[in-house]
Amino acid sequence: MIHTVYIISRNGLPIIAVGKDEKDDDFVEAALFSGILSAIQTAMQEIDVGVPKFVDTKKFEIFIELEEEFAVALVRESTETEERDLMHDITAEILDKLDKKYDDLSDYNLLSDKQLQDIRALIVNMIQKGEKELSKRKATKIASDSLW
Amino acid sequence: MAMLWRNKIPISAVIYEFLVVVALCMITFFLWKKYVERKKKPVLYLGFTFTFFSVALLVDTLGRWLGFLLINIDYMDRSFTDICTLLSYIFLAIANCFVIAFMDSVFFHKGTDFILPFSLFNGVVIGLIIPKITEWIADPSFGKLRESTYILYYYGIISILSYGLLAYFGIREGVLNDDRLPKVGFYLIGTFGVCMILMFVTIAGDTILVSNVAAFSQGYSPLYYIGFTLAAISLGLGYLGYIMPDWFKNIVVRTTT
Repeated sequence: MIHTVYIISRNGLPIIAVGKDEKDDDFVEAALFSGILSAIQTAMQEIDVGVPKFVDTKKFEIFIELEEEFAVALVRESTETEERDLMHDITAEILDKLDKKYDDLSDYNLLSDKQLQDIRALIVNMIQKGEKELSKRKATKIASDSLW
Repeated sequence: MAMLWRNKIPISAVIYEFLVVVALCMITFFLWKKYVERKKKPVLYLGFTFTFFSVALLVDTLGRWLGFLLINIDYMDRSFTDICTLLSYIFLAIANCFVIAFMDSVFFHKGTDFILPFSLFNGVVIGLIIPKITEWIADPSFGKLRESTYILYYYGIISILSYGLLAYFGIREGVLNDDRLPKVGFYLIGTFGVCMILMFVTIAGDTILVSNVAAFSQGYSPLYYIGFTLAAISLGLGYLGYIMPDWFKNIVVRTTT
């Protein structure tokens, strides 16, 4: 299940966080998360192992897609299933759509309320698309393995 | 006419039910064969569903055969059709629990949270039928089934709900899928659910007609035969959707290329 999608500026500040529940949009939590993620990326760059695109914790899987000005991080509850490619696709699609639509998405303060609403709607739409695709793949896989 | 009806049972019903039972047992066999090959939970649940269906229909058919063939007893004094039909509903209720478990294993993955409430609803059917069976043992005369129509309606509603879910989610997965094989497979599973619902509706319609229309007071209205025809169609769909034999798979794949 997709938990939250974070849009983060490259300097580690949160732009927007969209969760399935209202409480997941908590700005303090988003700021902490963005900071930690940014710190991990900086540290990994420093030691020259490259920028991580996937972080796996005991509870969550975090899929990251980067662009020059901002990053999209999709947080999903770990389920040990093999739909990681799909999650990467969804994260990349969010990044691609936002990149095409907005010239400058590097700072929360530069966005109007209308733009933030649009971004939120786009992400909610993508979360729903991802969930639908996920459940479809799961049911199809189970039925194919068992019956066909 | 005397040859066609005996003890208020038409030979057409006896033969028709028997043919459906044979088809059902064959599908059950193929499902267990598939389970042995693949060892997957959904097939296990389907195997149990069809096994209990088969047992239910076997018991019902047995009652029909006994009622039709035993000529040295008066059916009014000892109604085998009543007791066997009541017994068959116990097995049908158990089959319902397994079809719910099958749906959960493929579509919902909620475990007991989803399966338990449906099982309890079906448990009520069993709980209501057992006293009727003990009543029949004390007094095996004709009429126990007619006194139990409310249980059959209740069972019908639960079954329509269960198969409604199967129909909805089967067809939905079919619509969502782009690959030909799972698309066809899910459509068949969904249509199987639709046919089962129609079967329950027609069988309930038959019970209503028999109870309220003088012309059908002997039982076995046209809806009874339509119901069993729908059961036969469901079995055909079930065979293609659940078993999906190689020849059918080839046809599905060939039409794509």
